[in-house]
This record gives sequence, C-alpha cells and structure tokens, in this order.
Amino acid sequence: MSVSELEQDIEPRLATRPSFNVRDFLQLLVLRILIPVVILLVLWQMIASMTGITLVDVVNAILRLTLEGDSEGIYLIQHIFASVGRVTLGFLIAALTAIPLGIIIGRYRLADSILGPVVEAMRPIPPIAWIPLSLLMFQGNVIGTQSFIIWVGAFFPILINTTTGVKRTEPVHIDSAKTLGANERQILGKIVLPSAGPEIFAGLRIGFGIGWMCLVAAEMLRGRDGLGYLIWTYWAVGRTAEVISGMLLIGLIGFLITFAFLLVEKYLLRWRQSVSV
Amino acid sequence: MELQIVERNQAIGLTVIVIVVASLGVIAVWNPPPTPDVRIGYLTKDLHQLALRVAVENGLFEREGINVQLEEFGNGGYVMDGFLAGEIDMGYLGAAPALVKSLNQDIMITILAAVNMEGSAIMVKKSEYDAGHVTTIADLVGKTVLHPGPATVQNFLLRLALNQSGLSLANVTAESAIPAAMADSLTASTPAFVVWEPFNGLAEYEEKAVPLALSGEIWPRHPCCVVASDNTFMANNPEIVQKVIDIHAEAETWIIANPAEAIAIAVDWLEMDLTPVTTSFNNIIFDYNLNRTGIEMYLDFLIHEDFIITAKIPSDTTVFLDSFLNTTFVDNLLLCC
Repeated sequence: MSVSELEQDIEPRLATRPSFNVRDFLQLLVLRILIPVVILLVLWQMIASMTGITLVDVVNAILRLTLEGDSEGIYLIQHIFASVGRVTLGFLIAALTAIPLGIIIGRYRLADSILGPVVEAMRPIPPIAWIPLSLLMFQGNVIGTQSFIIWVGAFFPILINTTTGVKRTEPVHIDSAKTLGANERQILGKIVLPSAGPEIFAGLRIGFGIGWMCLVAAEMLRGRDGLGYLIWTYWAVGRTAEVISGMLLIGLIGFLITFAFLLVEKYLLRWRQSVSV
Repeated sequence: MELQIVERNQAIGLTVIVIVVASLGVIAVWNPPPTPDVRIGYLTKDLHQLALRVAVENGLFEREGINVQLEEFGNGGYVMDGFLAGEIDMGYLGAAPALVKSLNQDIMITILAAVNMEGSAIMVKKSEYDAGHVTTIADLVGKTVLHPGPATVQNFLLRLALNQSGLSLANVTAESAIPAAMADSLTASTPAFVVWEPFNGLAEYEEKAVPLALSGEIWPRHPCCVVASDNTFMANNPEIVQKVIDIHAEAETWIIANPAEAIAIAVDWLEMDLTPVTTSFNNIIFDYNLNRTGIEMYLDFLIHEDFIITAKIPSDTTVFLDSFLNTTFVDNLLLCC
C-alpha cells in the first residue's frame, strides 16, 4: 500500500471523528458536575444545620485555617500535606507487601493452602482494633504507628484482589506459554500479571480508599498536624465548622485521588478495551 | 410421612419461639425499668472522679432515695456531647471541656462544685532523668513534649511551667497524644509528657517516667474536674440537684477522712496495683469548693489562644462566670450543716 493510498484510507475516518457537540457538553456539565455539586451542597447544609451551623461558617473556617492557621500556627495546606504524606507512606508499604504476597498465594497452591487461612483469620480485624497494639509495637515511633494503621486498612483489599486476579488467569494461556517454552518468570511477567492487572488496580484503588478512611484514627493517636488531628482537636473544643471543614477536605481529596487512580488505570490498562473490542 | 413429622416439629418450634418472644415483650411492657431521678455522666476510670465512685460504693444515692442512672464517657468532650444530646442531666468532667464546649456550642450548663484540684504532672522518661539529660523544665528546650490536647488544663500547665523557667511553648514541640499511650511513647527526643492521674502514678510505678514537676508546684490548687448540671434540669429539679451536691460533698469529705478505704475503692475501680493508685491519690486534692480565680485565669487563656469562636467570647467574662459558676448549692450545704 502506497502512502497516498494510506492517506485516502485515513481521511474518511478522520472525517467521521466525532466533532465537539455543545449539547453533549452541557448535558455532561449538568449531569456529572452541577447536579452532584448541588446535591452535595444540600446534603452538607443539612448536616451542618443539624449541628447548629451553616455552610457559611464552614467556608469561614476553611478560610481562617488557610490564611491564619490553627491555634498552633499550622496552616491548612500543611495539615493536608501531612495527611497525604502519611497515607501515601502506609499505602506504598501496603502495595509493596500485598501485591507480591497476593501473587504467591494466587499462583502457588501450597502457599494458598498455608497462607490463605491465615489471611482469612486476620482480615476481619478492623484497622481501628489494632490501635492499642500498634502503640505498643511501635513505642515512640509515631510515623510507624500511623503508617501501620493505614497499612492494615490498605493491605487486605490489595492482597485479596491480587490473589483473585492471579487465580482467574486463563489456564489455557499458561498452558500455551508453557508449550511454547516459557519459564515461570516469563509466565508471571507476560501472562499472569497482565491478566490480573485490572483486579490489582481495583485493589489498589479500594486499598487507598480504606487507608484514607483510617487517617482520622491514625492521626488521633499522636501528632500536631494532619486533617484527622484537626477534626479531633476542634471536636474537643466544640468548633463544629472546623470539624466539618476537615471532613469535607478528607472527602474531596479522597475523591480526587480515586479519580487520579482511575485515570492511571485507564491509561495503563488501555489494552483491555482493545482486547474487548 | 417423614416430611409431615418434620413440618409438625417446625411448627411446634416456631410456636414456642413466638410464645417466648411474646412473653418477654409482655413482661418488658408491664415491668418497665424505673425512670431515673437523675442521669449523671462521668469519666471511665478517672481517679479525679473518685467521689462519684465512693458515693455509689457507699450507697449514698440509695440512702437519699435517689434513683441514679450513671452514664460512662471516654472524656470530657463526650460528656458535653451527652449534655447536648439530652442524654444526661448532670456530669462529672474537666473544667476545660465544660468551659470551651459550652461557649462554642451553646450548651446550657452550670458548674456547681469542684471535684478535685491539682492531680496532674509533667513527667520525664526515667532513663533520661537518671542520665542527667532532662532534670529541669529548661532541659526540655528543643524536645517534644506530649500533652492531651491544645485546649486542656494540662497544655496550660505546660505553658505555665515553661514561662516560669523563662521559656515559652515555642521552645518545645508540643504534640497531642492519647494519655494511656504517653509513657510508652517516650524517647530521647520525646522525653516528657504532661497528663492527669493515674497515668503519672502508673508510669512512675512501672519505672517508665519520673515526675519533673507536679501540677501543684506549677499552679497551686488549680481547677480540674467539676460537677455540672444542665440548666433546664437544675431549674426544674433544684431539690434533686441539691441532694446530688450534698452526696458529692459527703463523698469528698469521706475520702479525706478515710484515705485508706478510699484508695481501696479506687484500686478495685481502676483495676490497678495499690502503689500507683496511692501515689496518684496523694497528688490529688479532693475538694468540692470551686476555685473561681483559677477558672477565670483558664478562660482568659482559652480566649487568648483563639479556642473560643470570636462571636461567642463573653463581652464581660466576670458576668459570664457569675452565671456559669453557681455555688448556691454548695453554700446551702454549708448553711445547713
């Protein structure tokens, strides 16, 4: 096929590419952004009014914390960075431990039979129940204690999803690879991991979400910064607007991180669409 | 045939369950629990509030014919939430949460009597003290000190202690921590904590920490726990409130007159050994008379440190305290006895 023939082949396809549609854009804007935002505002106004304040108080609290800081002079952005840093650390440790372990449990029957019951016995223990023990295990190590609580929250969803993903690998694909002379490393790298990719990503997303939820408990233990600390401290002095500010920010940041995860997942696993097509 | 037997057995079983459940329901409806005369909130295993435990153990409420419902809370903030939710009529709690939350959340309560004074300490890691690294407040410069929260009396005590040594809070890193975990969190860089009893006595007993400064040395007779009442309850039931205050005063007096027996009650209640309880007990002043000057000083600190919402700061703190602190019931007690 010559270049001119290729151009002739491509041009009609380019011509049929969907053009910018104002109506679709407006529909997207209203359905995906405006209505959810209005519902959220109404919901939070209801919650705020039940505690005797208004959203205006919450906005004022956010502005005050942003511009003036808290009673210790720590600004809102510093609280946010502290929390994101803690959750990221706990989450990364969870991912680095859960994914390899999940692959081992999912791939090797012996490991599954030995470790499977252990995991199932540990999994139902809620992260918050680990707080007293974590304080004793990491005596004086505040980062260790907080990361551990977040790790417990994030670890099991990643582990279970990885295990499930690996177990779901089509045996025919593995057998074909073996027939073609692939070794175990190649099977893991070329067949098992790509096949388990969607589940692993789903596990990472859920794990980060649960790790983020454990933040308030982790920051209640000790410290002087973080959104969880902010919530507890201001609850203790009865400043509900600041408490709601912290909650709103935890929700917003959690949403943004989940959205970022989805984008990364969509990009890295774009082959899924081509496969399904 | 077998199927019929199974179905018949199932029917009998269901009938028995229905009868039992219905009977329990009828019993519950016909014998409702007696409505309490007063619902009192208090803190879980807090030695400062020994008077309430003594009143219960010595049967003072029964003797006075008051049906009391006790509600246990994790800290003073929760007690205030209990007032807000209408769960309790009276409460034993720290003066700090009582002041700050009543102002910020418009919780209508009045402080009627003191429960204790002092009973806190700045503790330092024993190995750091023995090595001579931290033997004075000035040695805390550049180090982390744990405290139970920014708006607590203990935080204020730390500030006072630092000021008395020519320092300020800026000279140390103050970090909030759970009281029960403080002693185990000490390191060379975090060598000290400030908290209430019995955590100090226990840390000393377990050789984890030693006292650097008792709160009585920093701020003699400083206010700590108090008895408060919901304003509506107080207005509608002054005779019950008076009886509770009478009982409270009697229990406090009994503790002072019978320290060994009081400590025995505390040991049983706290589920701790005798030595740490005795150490802690001896650091607490059990007194039902309010230290108004101390509470006024603490309120000024809360306002100065921006813990009170600006719009809710009393225009005249003296007038505010005149209504927030009501010593009438304690005064009646003195008049009558």
